[in-house]
Amino acid sequence: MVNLKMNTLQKVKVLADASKFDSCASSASNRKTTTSDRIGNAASCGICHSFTEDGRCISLYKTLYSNICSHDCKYCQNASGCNKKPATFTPEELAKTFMSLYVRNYVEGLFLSSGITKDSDTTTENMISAIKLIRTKYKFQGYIHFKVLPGTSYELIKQASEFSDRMSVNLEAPNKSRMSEISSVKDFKIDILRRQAWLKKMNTPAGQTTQLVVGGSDETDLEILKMIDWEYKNINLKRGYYSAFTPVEDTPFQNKSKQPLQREHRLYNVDFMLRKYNIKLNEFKDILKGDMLPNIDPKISLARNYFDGPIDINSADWNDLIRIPGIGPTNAYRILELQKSTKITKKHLHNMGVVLKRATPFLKIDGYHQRTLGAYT
Amino acid sequence: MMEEFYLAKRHKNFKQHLWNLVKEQPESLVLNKATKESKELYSLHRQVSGDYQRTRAFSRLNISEYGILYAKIEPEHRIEDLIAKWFFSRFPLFTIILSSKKGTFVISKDFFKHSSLSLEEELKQISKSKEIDPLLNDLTDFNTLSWENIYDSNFIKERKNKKYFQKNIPKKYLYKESLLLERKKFLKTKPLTDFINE
Repeated sequence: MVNLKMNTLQKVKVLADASKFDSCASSASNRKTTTSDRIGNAASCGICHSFTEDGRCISLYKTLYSNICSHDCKYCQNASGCNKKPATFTPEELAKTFMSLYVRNYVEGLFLSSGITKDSDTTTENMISAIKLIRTKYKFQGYIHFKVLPGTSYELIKQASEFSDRMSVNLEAPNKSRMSEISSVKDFKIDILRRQAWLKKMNTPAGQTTQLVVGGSDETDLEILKMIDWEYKNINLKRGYYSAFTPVEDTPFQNKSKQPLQREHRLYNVDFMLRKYNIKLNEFKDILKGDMLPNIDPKISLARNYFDGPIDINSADWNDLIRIPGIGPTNAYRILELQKSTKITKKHLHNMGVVLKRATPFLKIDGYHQRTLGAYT
Repeated sequence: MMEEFYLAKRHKNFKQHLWNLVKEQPESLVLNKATKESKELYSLHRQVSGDYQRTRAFSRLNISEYGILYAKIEPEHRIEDLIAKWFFSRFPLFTIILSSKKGTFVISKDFFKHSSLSLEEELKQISKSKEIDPLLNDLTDFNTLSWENIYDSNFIKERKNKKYFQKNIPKKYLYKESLLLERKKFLKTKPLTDFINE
């Protein structure tokens, strides 16, 4: 009995460590829970239960079902041929470990991925058994994010979607040729894009997401942005995650240089504007330098290109307001509301929380325009 | 319009005259937080809201096999009842007991009460009238090392960002002694060279 417990503990450690490069910040879902004979719910705003020493939030119990993998992705610590302690959960172990954490309020939900042990379908069947156990035996009605393994059959994906809030397939690279540089097994169109198209049909409560390894295949920012823009338009992607490449020991890419986190940060900046501001990708092409984003806030670069002169705060429309640095969607909405009833002053903007230092070079307030050195250089 | 600030009333430093003042101001200015007073009231509301979020996120529950989840909580403002109700909405099958400096709060399917008994006394009393719950009984066998392992495994050392970490995690919820010590060390005045070499 003692040995069995120790084994589970060791598996928890090894398999959580094996999934640390997977990004999953969100735990929000629109899942409706109507019965009271259940455990758990999904908060619409998501909850962070702790923070790691790198400052990232721990919201979900992020784990692999197994770290044994037959694929040969050159950046991945779990790929075949890499030196690692092999570990695989049983569905019961995984379900019990997760529920023990959930009822104690350590985590907000489950994020389940896996290496491909024999083949995608066999591994997915085991993963489905685990989440089925969580949903039925333990009556769990909270958040589950299920990673679809490349090459999984339609029937199994459909089955998994009945138990999941969010599903995702990782793109890893922005196109077919870049994918061939990092993996000799994955077929970009069939294994990934076709599965994403299937997920679009499943309509899970929290939709689907994807993740890219930034700098894994020496791709440019433009290639990444083109792909992600295509996904937002055609796959109904909720959001993309970017993970700056970090070399891992014992992998073929161990000597490749690390990507600066700043690059990941700038991609998230542009991604947010594509999703929330509905700014077209073409506009960003003008601010790129050699197909890469410069290390300047893209919103400032975009505003410098877009505006011919200062914008009058009392007559600006949504499209103008949203492009002014220091004004986000909430404040743009507040300004539009206020325009109807009063003349907006600098004090109003300050009280609302507009970042005046960034916004004033682009604004005309009370007929006055504060010029700042470098604002239009 | 005052629903926007409903949590402000639960702030430990809530002032009724501020509430009355904002109530008399033009609606459009208040709703967009464009006056000094509405901004102040909104700030109180946000502070309570933050405390509510943090208490929900960082309070760890204990399990009793009699279908009871219990914990000691330390909110800064008067939100214990809200926290108890929230945990009950999450775990409607179980009885929730939360204790704080302001007493013990018990919520279950049949009742909600605020008592002056201690957490242990309430737990003992309620357990007497309950049978063993098979679902929770299955989950009592838990090693806190599981959580420690998960926590440590999530950290990517190449991304270590002390400043961001300190900003995000509330000091009182730093449960790991090593992290607490590191934080204390960090907050002490250090020579400039230490920061440069970090």
